[in-house]
Amino acid sequence: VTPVNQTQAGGAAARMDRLELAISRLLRWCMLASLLLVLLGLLAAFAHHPDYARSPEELRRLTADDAPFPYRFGDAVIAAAHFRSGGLILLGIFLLFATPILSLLTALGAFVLWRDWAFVAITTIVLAVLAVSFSIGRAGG
Amino acid sequence: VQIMTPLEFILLTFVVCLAAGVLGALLGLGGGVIVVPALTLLLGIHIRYAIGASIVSVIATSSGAAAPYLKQRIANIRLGMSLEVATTIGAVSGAYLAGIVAEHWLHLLFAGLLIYTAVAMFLNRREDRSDLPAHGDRLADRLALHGEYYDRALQKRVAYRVSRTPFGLGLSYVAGAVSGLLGIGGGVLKVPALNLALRVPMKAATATSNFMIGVTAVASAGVYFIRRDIDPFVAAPVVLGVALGAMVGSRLMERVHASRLRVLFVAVLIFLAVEMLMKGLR
Repeated sequence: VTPVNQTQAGGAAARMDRLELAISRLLRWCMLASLLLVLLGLLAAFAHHPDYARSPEELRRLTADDAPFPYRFGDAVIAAAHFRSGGLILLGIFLLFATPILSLLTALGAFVLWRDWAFVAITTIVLAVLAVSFSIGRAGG
Repeated sequence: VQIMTPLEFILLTFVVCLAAGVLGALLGLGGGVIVVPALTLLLGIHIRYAIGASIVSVIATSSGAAAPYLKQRIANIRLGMSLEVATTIGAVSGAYLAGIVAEHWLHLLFAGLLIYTAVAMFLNRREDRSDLPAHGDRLADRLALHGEYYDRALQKRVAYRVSRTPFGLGLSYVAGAVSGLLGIGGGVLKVPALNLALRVPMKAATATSNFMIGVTAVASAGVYFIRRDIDPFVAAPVVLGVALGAMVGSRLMERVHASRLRVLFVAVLIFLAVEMLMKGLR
């Protein structure tokens, strides 16, 4: 191995380390933030509805198939802004969904920067599969 | 479910999932394999919502577990991302299938998974098989999937060569499909695949598996979410309980003898498998 190759290999390892560190931080903070949102959502539920602590009837309503939750991202943001429980919980869940996706996007950016086209392709395929997953559910039962 | 108030339901679900998270982390499993039967059998939640809530919690625990592994550079993200092509396609097909098969089939399949996990835990083949002869692997060469990490226990760098990538992709598809179908992270399938088939050392296999699980779980979570099988009011205490439990469990790990727990855990798994089987056959 010539010194030039060694430097190149060292550079590649160092930039990979930086990418791994960036993804590590991203995963940790997004995860903690989403848990916090879900917790706030639960607290909001009991703050708005004191009867949740007393009435079994309420549970049947909340876990029914037509329970009133803001399933669209925009609706969830508006509901969360009004400190509504469903909106906060769903924002937390959306952030949780976004966590691995953001790590993939970070990696994609790095691979583009490094002109590592094989991995640009691989990461793009994985992201495309995730996009399909958020549209295929409608077809299922 | 009918006789509880929402407050009782949230607290009970949280406590059950907290316990599942602690146990899961102590034994190196995700919580899913305990959470789904606990929610269906103990709390009477429909298995589809139990799976939906579990898959959300899997994203949280795997993100939490992957973060330190990435920081210590034990996870092989090039390998993980390559295999994610197969696990995500598997996850979407599994999650899609879960929407069309009859409910009792989900109970029966889950019983099968519990038995497999119990057997795998009982045999406890934790010894490292990465020293088996490696095969030449042009795909791994071309994509530079081979890895290296610093092993603190051994106090040395461990370099390894990945082999049989195409076979590993096939196994990853299966692991993804099971994960999507039953709402588990699937480390119990991914780690052996990485170690036995691809010859990745155990530590790197565990770390890489955790990194892959989050992405795989989002692929199936998308399907469950659009189908409205993720009930926020069920998912919230599950996610909080499992994630908090996993954090506690990973800190307890150094102080508890997991081998003693393992015997108890195998018994619990078999008990849950029998209960699931009976629910499926009813």
